[in-house]
Amino acid sequence: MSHLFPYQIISASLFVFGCYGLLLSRNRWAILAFLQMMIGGIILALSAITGIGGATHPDSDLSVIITYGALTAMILLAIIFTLRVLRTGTDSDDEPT
Amino acid sequence: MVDFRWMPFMFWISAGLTLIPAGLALTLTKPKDLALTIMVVHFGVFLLLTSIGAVIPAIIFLIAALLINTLILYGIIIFPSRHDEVINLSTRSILLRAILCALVFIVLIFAFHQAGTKSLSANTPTNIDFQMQSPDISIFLILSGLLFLLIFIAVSHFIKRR
Repeated sequence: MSHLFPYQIISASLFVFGCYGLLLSRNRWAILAFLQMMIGGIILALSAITGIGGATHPDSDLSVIITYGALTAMILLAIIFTLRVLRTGTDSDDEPT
Repeated sequence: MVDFRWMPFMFWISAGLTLIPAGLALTLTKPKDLALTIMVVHFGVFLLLTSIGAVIPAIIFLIAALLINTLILYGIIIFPSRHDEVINLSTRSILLRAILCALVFIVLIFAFHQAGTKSLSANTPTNIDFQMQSPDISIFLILSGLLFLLIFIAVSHFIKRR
């Protein structure tokens, strides 16, 4: 058993905790926070696989590009949320997002 | 201090910093508390990434996570939401969602384990039987910690419902 597996357990549990929170919460800010948690799990798994798995060096171009991609998705998500909130003027829609 | 191994110590600290607040975040109802708890989770993920050796992604991750957490904290103050509480669901639907998430977790762990075993058998000579290897104790520690977390979450849900 390699050192990779504990990191993968942690990343999978982060992903699943985020998923469960996403399914349970209705508040937009809480949903954003749980999405962040899920993306954190994905980034951790990716870095562990590329770093400890021995495919590439952890600071390699691929891992940095994919991390950038995931973080760009996070930032875009935040911008979309903010724009939507600013457009409506209030964050009080009744339907869950 | 020659025999002191920094990386396992850092791993356990960061694993605790990641998993305990992540489990705690599921029980919180106020988004402000949630955002503060998730900041701790992100710090734990930053430490884990650093312990792997991925320093640049860790720094990028920490900066972006701090920005978004600040946005969430200010967003909660500027644009408060009516839905401060979790959805009032029946016990059956909560159980269904929990079972779905547990299935996702089991599938992920199984896939990771299979991929790890395959990569090990591809990289080493063929005479070693991997089924006979004793598993790493840290995996059982993490899994038992997760079990305690799940029990903690279930108990807190039960207390909240009362």
